[in-house]
Amino acid sequence: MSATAAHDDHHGLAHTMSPKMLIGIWAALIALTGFTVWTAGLHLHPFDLVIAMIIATVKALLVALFFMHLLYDRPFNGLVFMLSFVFAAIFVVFSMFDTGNNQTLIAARSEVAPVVEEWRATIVEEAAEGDMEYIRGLVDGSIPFEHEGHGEAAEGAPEGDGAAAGH
Amino acid sequence: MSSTTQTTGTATTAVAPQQSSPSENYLNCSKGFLSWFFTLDHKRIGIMYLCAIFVSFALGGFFALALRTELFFPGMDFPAIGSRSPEAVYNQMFTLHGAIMVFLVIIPSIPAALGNFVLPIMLGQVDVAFPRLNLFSFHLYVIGAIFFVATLLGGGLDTGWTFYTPYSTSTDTMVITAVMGAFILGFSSIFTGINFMVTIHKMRPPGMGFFNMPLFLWGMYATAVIQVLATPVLGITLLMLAIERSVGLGIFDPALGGDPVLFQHFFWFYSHPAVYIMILPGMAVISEIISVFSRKHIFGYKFIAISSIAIALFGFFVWGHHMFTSGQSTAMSTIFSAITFSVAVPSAIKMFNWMTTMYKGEIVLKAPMVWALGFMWLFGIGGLTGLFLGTMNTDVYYHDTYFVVAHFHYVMVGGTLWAFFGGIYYWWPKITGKMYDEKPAIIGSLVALLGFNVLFFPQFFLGNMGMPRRYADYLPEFTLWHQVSTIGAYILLVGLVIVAWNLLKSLTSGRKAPANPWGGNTLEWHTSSPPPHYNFENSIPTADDPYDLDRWAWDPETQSYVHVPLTEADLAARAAHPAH
Amino acid sequence: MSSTSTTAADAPHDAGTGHGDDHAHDVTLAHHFESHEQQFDAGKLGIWVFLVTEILFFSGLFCAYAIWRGLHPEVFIYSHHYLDTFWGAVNTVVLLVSSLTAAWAVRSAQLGDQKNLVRNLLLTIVCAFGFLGIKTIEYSAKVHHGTLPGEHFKPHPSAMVLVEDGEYIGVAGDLARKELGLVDPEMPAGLTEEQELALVEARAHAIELYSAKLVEQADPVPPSVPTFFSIYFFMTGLHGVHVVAGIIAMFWLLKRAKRGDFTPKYFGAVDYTALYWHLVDLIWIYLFPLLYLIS
Repeated sequence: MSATAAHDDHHGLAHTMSPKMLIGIWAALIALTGFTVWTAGLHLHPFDLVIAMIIATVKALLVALFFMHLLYDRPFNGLVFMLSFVFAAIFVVFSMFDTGNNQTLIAARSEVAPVVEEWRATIVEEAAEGDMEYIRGLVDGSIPFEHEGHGEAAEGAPEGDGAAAGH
Repeated sequence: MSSTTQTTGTATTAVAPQQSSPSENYLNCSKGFLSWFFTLDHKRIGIMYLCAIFVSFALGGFFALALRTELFFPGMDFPAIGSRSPEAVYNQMFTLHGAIMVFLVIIPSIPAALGNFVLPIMLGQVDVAFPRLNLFSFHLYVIGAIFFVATLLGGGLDTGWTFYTPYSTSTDTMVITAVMGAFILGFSSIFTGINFMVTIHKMRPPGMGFFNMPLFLWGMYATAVIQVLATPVLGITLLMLAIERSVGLGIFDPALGGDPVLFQHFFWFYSHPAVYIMILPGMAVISEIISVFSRKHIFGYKFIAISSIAIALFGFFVWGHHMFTSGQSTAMSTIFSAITFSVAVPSAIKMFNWMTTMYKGEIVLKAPMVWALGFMWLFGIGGLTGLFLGTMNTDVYYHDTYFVVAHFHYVMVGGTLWAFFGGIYYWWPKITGKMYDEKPAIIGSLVALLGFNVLFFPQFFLGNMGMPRRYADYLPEFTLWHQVSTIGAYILLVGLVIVAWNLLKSLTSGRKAPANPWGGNTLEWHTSSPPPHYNFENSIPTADDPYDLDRWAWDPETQSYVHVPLTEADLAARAAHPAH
Repeated sequence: MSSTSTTAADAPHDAGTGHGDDHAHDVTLAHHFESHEQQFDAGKLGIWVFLVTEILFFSGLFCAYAIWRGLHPEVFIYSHHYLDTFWGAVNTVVLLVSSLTAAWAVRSAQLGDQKNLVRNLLLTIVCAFGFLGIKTIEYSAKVHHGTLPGEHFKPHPSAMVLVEDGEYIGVAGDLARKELGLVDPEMPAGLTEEQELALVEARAHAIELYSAKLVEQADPVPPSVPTFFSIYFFMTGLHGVHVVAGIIAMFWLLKRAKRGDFTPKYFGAVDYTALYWHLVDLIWIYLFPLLYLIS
């Protein structure tokens, strides 16, 4: 096959893209990049994310269909590629549905994290001293926990019992 | 050149290769460590996997026995090692047992070892599509295993094989090394999946459509789909965990606004489908064995084939059933619980089809069949007890008890490992060219079956009584069942020792294996045992119905099955009923 | 990883181990394939399946992103002011150019045009290095300002983004400079070198102190901001690793192209690497608006 047969057709093993198409697609991609930056500047809340995603998807389609030759490739390869997005979507959507459930707990945890650390350190320390009455009181709440200054944190104290790892 | 002969695809036009003599096979065509370790021959790679898996299995099994021994009496029986308390030693042991058995043994067992050996031959090919990638994936396996050994030697691991945060980000054991090992093993698994998928797609011989493939290949295909779609998510999860631990990213750390339950979503999105990476190849092996040793065409070919794909796909929608008690929302738990039951359907379809295949068949009770029947029983128990755990409200009670331990051992060991041993016995003559001794093989299998049930059935009772898993010690009322269970572990060990001795002995004193000792009609039985370097000496037989067992008849003189040419009457009958 | 997968995808000289084979045959056709078409199709399916694994690999990060943005939109609106849209857009253009040259390299290989193949591969490599260079500028600014991921998020007051009543008002250091009259400060004449240095230091210190005051007056920083930077660095970092892998693969192609390995019947490696490169581009096409263009 000679180099002059450079047209939009199957050339040997696979489809060959013409220079015109390559540059045309590239120009469209650049234009869309400019467009998406411009729309972001308009502050079109709450549609900004949707618009940005639509533009990104159009760009992705241009790359996949032309630069990656999917339009001219065996349909099965395209199907395989699509499948990855389907499964990624299953993963993301199912996980998203659920995680909101823990957010109040997490917010509380990140706020009280230092206090909890100190509480834990105190218990470990008291346990080392053998004051089980105090610990029992802390756990059931009959002794109020005074954080800050109740002894120093016992860093590196041995980790609980054998069941500690059994989550 | 011998490889050109395969292009013809029929026996008549093939030309005998000029160089290879019948005595030359893939085992003796070249010698030396390097000719193995850097080989591109899928058969040798399969054997190297087999050896590596056996070594890992012995290591994981050692830990299991140590755990069961410690649990024989209440109270702590392990010594403290260094600064580690006996309880900490126990934690490390069950973690390494789990991690080694899952990542180094069960996941690669059937696909990487047996699959590598058999798959290209079943397709009548010289090799898999990407031989270098295949070798690379074995090397990754070795590197991953080295990381695990480093974990073992360098301070252990006590997170459980699931690496749950926040414990895994705060414990002082070798989490990062172990996680990198699992990450690398994940890529080994992915590359095997890509290789098999492409090989099955692009290298089927003439006359073998998707629905003429042996069911083993359907199982391998379904497995490859999961390996390709699920394992990358494990990769990114472990990478996030490693970086979280070393740099403090906070994505899973609630103190920085991260979500530890999210880690469980990430982990189980892979690890639930991974359960099917473990069981689908087992089912694939069983489909071959049941048909051949019932001397009967497989029943419900299409249903078995499609149910493999169905299991692979359904498996992606049920991961939340591992998280019913983790803080997952009730709504999601309900949805996951409901979908979980759908997976039972394709699994049951397989069971019914195997049983119907055996119905009115001439069942030949040789070792592979004994393992296969053991599989059906054990997998049945494992599958049915899974329903208790998939039901949300009963799971809240059973979660993290010995009931779960018993359930997944019935599925993973009773399922996958039984199928693996069945497959090893089935293809042993093909792989080694030697026949094993039948009687000890069957005894070994039955002793192992007995030991397994004595080991794990009491654990259902323990779980029901409320014995939590992963505890180094227990209350006196659990003593009886723990002791029975430990005795079972040693019976299982005896069974496996008989198996190992039986297989090793065959290498030195086994009778030379004929090309087709079982009368199977898949293509690997059409070549010599062991196969030549390029798999087929003279010609690739034409692929037809892989379960057309009537074309082979037992020949007492050679102690093997020989090919029976089709008569005119057969051909006429076939033309009248184009069944498959 | 891409280089290994493509290497294996088209093993051309693979004649098996130790098996003499003295018939003359096409060295570009591996012994286990029947035809160039089968070889090419197998490699192509292989690389597509590999790209599927790449998408799912990245999906974990997109999942974390989606969850965090869904739950804490205020964090993303606040944090994106730390990112430089200009450099992000420039990098997008750089990658798009490299995609064009990669696609063109495939065309040249298909036509057996070795000169243009080499030229296009070189251009792709140059663009890839350009991308990494710009990334380095962005990263070093973040290191400099202390806006690092997770527990390492300790921005200097002068680098803090200020928001009052939910409205973006600017970076603290810039505002401080303006109000202190130090936007473009002149150096008084007749100072020794040491005095000059001391003055520069004093001015910087004043800006820091004034910034700290401004930070106090502004809205407090939303709590999950460190997680945004975790996600930002992880996503762009992993993408950067893929760029590096792509560069290695391109160099390997360049070497082979110069040697004249590729013919219209055997150009799979170029095609597969280009597909991988387009995927890297494709992921960036989504990363750019998701990280840099939040409003």
